Amino acid sequence: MLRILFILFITLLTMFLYLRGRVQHKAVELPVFLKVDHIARNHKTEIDIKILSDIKPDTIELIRLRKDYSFLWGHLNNLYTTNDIKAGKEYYTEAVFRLLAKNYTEKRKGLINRIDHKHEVNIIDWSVDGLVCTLIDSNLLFTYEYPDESIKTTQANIALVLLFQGDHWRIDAMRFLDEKEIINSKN
Amino acid sequence: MVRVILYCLLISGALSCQKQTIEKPVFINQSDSLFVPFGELIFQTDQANWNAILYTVFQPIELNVYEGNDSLILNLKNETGLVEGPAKLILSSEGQFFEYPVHIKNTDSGEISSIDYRSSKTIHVDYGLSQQRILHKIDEFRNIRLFKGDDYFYSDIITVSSNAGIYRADPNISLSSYYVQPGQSVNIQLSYTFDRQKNSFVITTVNNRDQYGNTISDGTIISFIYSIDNKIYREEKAILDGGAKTSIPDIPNETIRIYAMINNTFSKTIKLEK
Repeated sequence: MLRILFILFITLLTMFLYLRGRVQHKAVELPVFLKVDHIARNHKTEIDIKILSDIKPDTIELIRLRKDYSFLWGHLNNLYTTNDIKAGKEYYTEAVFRLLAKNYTEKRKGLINRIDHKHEVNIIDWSVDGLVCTLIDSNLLFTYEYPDESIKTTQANIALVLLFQGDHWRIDAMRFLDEKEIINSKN
Repeated sequence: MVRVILYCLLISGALSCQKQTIEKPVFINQSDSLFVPFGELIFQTDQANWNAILYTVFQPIELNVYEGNDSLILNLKNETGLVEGPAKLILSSEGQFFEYPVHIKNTDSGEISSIDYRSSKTIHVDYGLSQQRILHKIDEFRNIRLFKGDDYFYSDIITVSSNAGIYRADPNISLSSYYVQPGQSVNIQLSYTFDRQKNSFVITTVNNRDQYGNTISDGTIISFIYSIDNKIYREEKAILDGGAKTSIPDIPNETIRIYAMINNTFSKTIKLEK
């Protein structure tokens, strides 16, 4: 009798543990609109926008572009330091993400930090439907911080294609035109 | 004596804590451009334990490091193209680092796509046939290529065909589709027959076309408005293949007059006679 009770007890215990395991919730990734993007929100930079296109964005579209462009650079700087390609995936188109993933070696502790101080965004084309923007970011001021606490400031020119996908602007292509050193604390 | 020994120990300890300065490795096969994928980058150094990272404008890429006698050889882990332009090659060993500015160029740019963004995607012929086009070229590694002369971007306003249909800016990309929709009917012709079996008039309109000769869209509402005995009736039908029909029962000793309208286009009023 005692043996039957013991077996029953063990069976119930096993079933309890099995069922408990099944109903356990797995960790789920929150949808984008519920996440707080600290990297983007903590990023500050100065952006001047000049509209050279015949079709011009309206004020609301410009506010959106300015905000997303700052967020994009927040993520590009984070990527530059950490090689964390997933953190900013919302700001890259699929093609760019694929390129980054292809060249991914490993996530690493930052050696060089890059800070973007100032952008002069020249909008070259703006689509009628507000979904495509081509631009040249001229006189972009970058500061690189090295592990020995030396810094280097450069001025760069970059051409970019941005596409409005999902609910924000994403980088689709780039041409890094040039970069020249203007301040080097080591010299 | 003890004091001297202690001083000696202290000085030697301080000297051993001092960082050994490493000489900057000499980049043997350095050139103006770093063509990617590069075979091997060779450096001359007598130091060991090197780490090498290539910083493109996007991301840091760790390189394979092979150390030999007084030399250091680097190559890419994935032999693929990169984002072109200024970049930094950083060599580090024992807390010290050395920077080599490089200019990345891909040996093979892969497939170069001509991008043609059209806007707006839907053209309604009655509201004009102009469409904006934004053009540029992108290579396989998302580098924007020169489009024309020194320009990377080009855009203009073009006039699309007035023939209704689905078109593609790039025949190979379904996402580049745009749509030309027919306009409204410019001329409505009514005709009728008398169906003796059902004792009713069958009124038809066929071949309704817009100003460019496109058959007007299916589902466009056509209203048949007819009057019998000073009462006015209205019947709505949907256009299919440019035509529609309706029937009105014959009422003896009454004259039926009918006309049709689509939006603001009217047909002539006709009198139905047996």
